Amino acid sequence: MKLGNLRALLSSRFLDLLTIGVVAAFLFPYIFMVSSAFKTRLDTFAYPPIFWGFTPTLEHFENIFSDMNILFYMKNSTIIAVCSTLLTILISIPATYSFARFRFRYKEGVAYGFLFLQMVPGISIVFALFFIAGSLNLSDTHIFLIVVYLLWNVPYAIWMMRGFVEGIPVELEESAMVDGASRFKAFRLITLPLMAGGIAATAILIFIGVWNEFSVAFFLTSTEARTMPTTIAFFMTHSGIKWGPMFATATIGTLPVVIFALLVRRYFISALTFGAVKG
Amino acid sequence: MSGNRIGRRRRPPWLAPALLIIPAFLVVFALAAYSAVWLLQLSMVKLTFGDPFRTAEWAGLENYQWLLFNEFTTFWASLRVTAVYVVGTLAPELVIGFLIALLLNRKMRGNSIFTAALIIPMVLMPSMVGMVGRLYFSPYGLINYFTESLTGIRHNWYGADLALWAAVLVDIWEWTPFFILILLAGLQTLPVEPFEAARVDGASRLQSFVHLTLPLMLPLIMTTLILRLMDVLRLFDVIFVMFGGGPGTATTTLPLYIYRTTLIQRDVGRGSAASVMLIIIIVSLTVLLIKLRDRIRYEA
Amino acid sequence: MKFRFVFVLLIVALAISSFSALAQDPIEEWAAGIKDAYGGTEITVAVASHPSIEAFKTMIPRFEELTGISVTLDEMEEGQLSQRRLLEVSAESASYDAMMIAIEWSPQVAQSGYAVPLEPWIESDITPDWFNYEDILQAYRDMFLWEDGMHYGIPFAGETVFMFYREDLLEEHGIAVPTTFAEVMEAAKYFSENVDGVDGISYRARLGWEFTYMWSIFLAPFGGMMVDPETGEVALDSPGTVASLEYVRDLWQYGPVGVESFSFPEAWDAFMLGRAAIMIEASAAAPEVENPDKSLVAGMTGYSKLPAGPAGAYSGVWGWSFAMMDDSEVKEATWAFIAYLTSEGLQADYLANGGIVSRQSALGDPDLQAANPYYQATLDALGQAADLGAEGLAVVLPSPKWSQVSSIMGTEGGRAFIGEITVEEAVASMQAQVSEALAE
Repeated sequence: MKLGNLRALLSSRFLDLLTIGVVAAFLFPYIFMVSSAFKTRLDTFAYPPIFWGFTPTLEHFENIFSDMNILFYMKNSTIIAVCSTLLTILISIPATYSFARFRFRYKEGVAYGFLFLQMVPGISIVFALFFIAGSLNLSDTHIFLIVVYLLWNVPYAIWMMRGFVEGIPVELEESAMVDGASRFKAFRLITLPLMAGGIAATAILIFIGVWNEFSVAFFLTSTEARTMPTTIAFFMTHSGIKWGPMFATATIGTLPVVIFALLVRRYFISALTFGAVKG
Repeated sequence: MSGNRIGRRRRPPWLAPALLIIPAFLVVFALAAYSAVWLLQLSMVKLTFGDPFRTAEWAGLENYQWLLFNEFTTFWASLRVTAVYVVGTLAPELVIGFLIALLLNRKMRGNSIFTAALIIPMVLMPSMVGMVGRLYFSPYGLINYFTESLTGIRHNWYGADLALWAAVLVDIWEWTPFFILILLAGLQTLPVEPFEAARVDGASRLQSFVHLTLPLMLPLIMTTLILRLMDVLRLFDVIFVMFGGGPGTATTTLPLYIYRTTLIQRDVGRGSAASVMLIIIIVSLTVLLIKLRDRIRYEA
Repeated sequence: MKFRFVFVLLIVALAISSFSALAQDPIEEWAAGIKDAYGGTEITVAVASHPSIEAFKTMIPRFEELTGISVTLDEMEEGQLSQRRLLEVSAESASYDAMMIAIEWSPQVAQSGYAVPLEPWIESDITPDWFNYEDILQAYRDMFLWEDGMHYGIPFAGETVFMFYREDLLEEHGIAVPTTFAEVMEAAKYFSENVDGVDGISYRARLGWEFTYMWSIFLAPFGGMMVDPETGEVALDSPGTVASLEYVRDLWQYGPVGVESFSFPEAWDAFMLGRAAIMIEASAAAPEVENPDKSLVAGMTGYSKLPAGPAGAYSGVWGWSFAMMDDSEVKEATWAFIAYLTSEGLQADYLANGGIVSRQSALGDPDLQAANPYYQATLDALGQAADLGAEGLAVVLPSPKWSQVSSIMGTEGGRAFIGEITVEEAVASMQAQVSEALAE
């Protein structure tokens, strides 16, 4: 019996270690990437790779802030991601409410219609969008990207938030309405605060999606509205790939999202899983 | 429809929900319809990218015909690459993700930190991830350092045999956590009673896993697969940055094919025709899988 | 009296000094004239990220100060610039006064009327004496020559392809510098089989334009061609084309692992990190190879013109220029800007700040040749490129359809390279697709 306990203990120890190992394996490439941002060019190419003990340098960060003006692209990314997220939520809340609380004909049909549009790959319509932007005189503008992203974000938001609203008992609203509140007031005072967590979770996922989006932004912007993820093209220069500045940009570009996602990880995971468990 | 239609003040019951949906409907469907009209039109003309649209010539279905039947078309090759890529990413992601979810589904200190850490690969910019992948998989890169230390062999990840698998490995790294987190949430909400009953009946852990856990999790597994399938089918940035579709057509998935045809060969017509086909493939596959899932769920 | 004498002397001295100031600085004299006529003008120029642009950036403040013309550079990555140009040509409107144009884009900007022919401007009064157009290598000037006999760009950065080799390794193993492609193959074989950690040869072979760029160098030496200069017919299925593609494919086994996915940075890095004995690459790599911060083989590298194939020895030219947009409303100031930056008078400044050489006066200068060991190879390779031109051939087809042609050749050639299809299948496919593209 004692032996069995020992075995159980050992195997659970083993599984603990395995868990830590697995998680470390997923983290390692990112940590190595961040560390590479502080390496000189020849250190980056060293074989065997240098994991620690190199002399860190800040030259790549100086380079991207002074020569490459990375703040400009960060500003563009922020404007586009924030505006598109806010606009998405604003448009989606009424529609979500309608899907969750009303009964009408073709409801599920319309809901699925939204969902199918969300599946359209960016790469397959980006060249059509390119011509559209040209014909509307909106090429390379923030506003065009903000609006275009709605095509994917609004259906996604409706689908996500619908689950959250349906999870709030309708009786709460009804009792408020019995007390004389209008439907809108009942929604504003009762349902909206209760779905705040769901809205936040949805907004986080949408923000991250827009912040990272590449294929649409890459072909629809050039100088004015260029976003962070598409700056990779700048590192392919005539004198080779600028790996150091690339790593520095990747670090700067991913750090806010990583910190953000870690801070709100509860919402993040609930949003991720909620959609899947409900859908 | 209650039939109570007296008086102007009484609003029809469909009005409120319709009004609420209209903004979203207008935005999304207007965008989609506008793009669709352009896309269909572009897929039926001959037009060189960079020339004014007025120089386009009507070509009917010629572009589709060329893609499907021309002797020099690499459309079919790209479909094959896409299929390998989809299966190659989703199958291991599901299996590994499930195993790790089981591993994390134990009482252990620091579990919340672990799940938080797993978020990181998912939220990184894919274009930067692709760039980093290009370096890590280079002949003298990080990955080959590990394979050489462990097995004594440096692989040619840049070669036609392995390039696609390098891209697959990057995707597995990025997106296995997605399976882990969702399946973990699923495992944690499984009902307790059937498992206790099974234990009383003397079922082994393996037996209860096969006969209880798996069937109960199946709808969720299907949903997760569907979500990922949509993403994998349209994945562009990572492969574009790592290999640009090469060597040969080894990593030319359908999105890469569209890019190459439209922007590099500057054939807007054929590129748009391929785009239409990609949309058809994604939508029909997803509909099929959703139907399948709903049937499984209904039977369960 | 004395006082008067001193006074005269002073006047004379003043006159001489002011005269000599004028005589010594024709640049300032010219700029003063420009300032009177066009001071206060604003011009916008679209450029790609490029070492020469970095050099121009250090020169522009003085230009602005001297002429009163203010310059805005819109800098972007090369692909972006290309896209921008396509967009503007298709929208039929230019938002720039001048643009940096690559040889590959030249036919399109000329044919569409997006850019203006520059001959009238070169001959105009605005052009200073110290501009010296003829000093720019002819091979470079003629990259921007269009069918109407006019030039549409002033080249400032030229590029050719030559051979890089490790002097130390070749000497150590007693191998002579290869002068034929057969010897290149032998030497590459020797190093990849006998020397640990060193591969035979490095070059770019990534699917797409990279493959076309590299392969186009090998076409003529093996008797291959894209278009027959005599008949004007597509000739990609000629025996010479097949032979050159087979050679490139066979050379592959002695290249670094992964060469089939190498773009130019990876190809250069393999050589610069000491992992290849020979490299056939763009002249633009040479300054990097000689840069000890990036390269382990600085000072150990020799440069020579390209070896000969069975049908002769040829190289090619590529390059960048400034073109002036037809829609520009301030062409005089724009031309002053172009002429100033690309002039012989400011060449020393330009080269000292890292600009890429494009003038005979610099490449032939003994001091500069001594400081830059690859100048002689550059001149030799440009001679080889001129030989190619004399045959009526070019590494870049002077056609607005070049990007399609290049893409077809790069895709099919790249597939044959890795054995996905045979060389015969590849050239048949190329022949058919290129003929179709050019016929439209």
